[in-house]
Amino acid sequence: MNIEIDRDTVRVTGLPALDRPTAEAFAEQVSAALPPRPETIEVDLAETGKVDCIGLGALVEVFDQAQRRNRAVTLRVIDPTPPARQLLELTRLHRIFPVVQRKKPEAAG
Amino acid sequence: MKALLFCPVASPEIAALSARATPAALPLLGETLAAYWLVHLASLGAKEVTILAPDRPEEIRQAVGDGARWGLRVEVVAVAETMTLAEARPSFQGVGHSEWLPAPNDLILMDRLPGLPGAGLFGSYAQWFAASQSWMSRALTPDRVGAHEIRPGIRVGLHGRIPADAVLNPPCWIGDQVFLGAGVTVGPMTALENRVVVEAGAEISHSIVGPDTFVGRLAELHDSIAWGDTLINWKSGSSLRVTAGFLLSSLGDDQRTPPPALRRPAWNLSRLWSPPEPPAVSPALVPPFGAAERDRYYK
Repeated sequence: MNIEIDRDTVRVTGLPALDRPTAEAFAEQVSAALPPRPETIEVDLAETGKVDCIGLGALVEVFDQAQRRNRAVTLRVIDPTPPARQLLELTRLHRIFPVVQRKKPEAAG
Repeated sequence: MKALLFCPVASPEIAALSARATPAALPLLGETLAAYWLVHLASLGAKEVTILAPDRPEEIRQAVGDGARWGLRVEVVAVAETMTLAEARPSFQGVGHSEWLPAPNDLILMDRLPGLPGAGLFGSYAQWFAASQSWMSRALTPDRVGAHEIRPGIRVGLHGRIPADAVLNPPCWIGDQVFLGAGVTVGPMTALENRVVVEAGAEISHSIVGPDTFVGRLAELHDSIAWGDTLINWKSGSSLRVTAGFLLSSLGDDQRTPPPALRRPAWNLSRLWSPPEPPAVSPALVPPFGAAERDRYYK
């Protein structure tokens, strides 16, 4: 997992999984990297093949941590894989975390 | 008159569905494909139908029985997966054709629904979804008792519960023993198969929910086929298994990740609903109410 900080923006990339085994480390590392007043958090899920509700819970936890520093912070999900998008929609989290599609989605196999 | 029905084999394009049942036994608006074809053949005057089943013939036998329900004598014969229609004709029809229905109804491959020749079923999840939508207005075949249209485009089966504040957008199909929680939105272009439970506040549109499936509180399903804990996006073909039973899970015996609280029959899920209220839609929907109660509410 890579975390880049550009002033008030945090970008998380290179996440092969966001599930029960990885969720805690994700939440801890991203929360620890938050700037004093985060404006935007971008979580790139383009490589995230495994995702479950515990993983989505980690997104909520990071968002919660960021909101304690800035109520207006936005958490964006970038290029989610089809399963990740399905789970975001099932849980309606896509209404809280804007989904940004930058790459053309790959056809499901 | 006689006829042959040939069952399709499992299709990799709809692997997540055909893993659950052989294609001809998959439920589609409360009945199997084989049942729809038997109704069709009975209407053409068939009396004896042989079903050639290269894939899981026991499931076909369970679905159609001996055919008495349709006034037919039905035999299910297991055949090799490699058998073709061309091979089946001489093997099972012999040389005399006088006792068979006229072609093309003497030998039918069940890869589509009766009367929808251009609409394939098993080429993709999108095909399956499209076929279910096309079939919605025709699925109330003469042999079906109880299911009825409560408003234009909204067809509802028996023994379910639809609260007064549920939003039903046509076209939609709600099967038998379907229980909807408060504030649920169903449709448009949605089918809830038999024994589905949808918790309060959930929204389902442009989707099919398979039989014995639990959809959790506030869940949102769009462009999906949800069956047990399997969630398929019929547009993209993507599928995943939802491990959180409170969101989506199976209520049937074949569940792979059973939430213990949901092992009971749907109508025992007391946490989902308050005590019975007067039926919102139709007295026929609420079997727990006896005739006396029903009359009282609908005087």
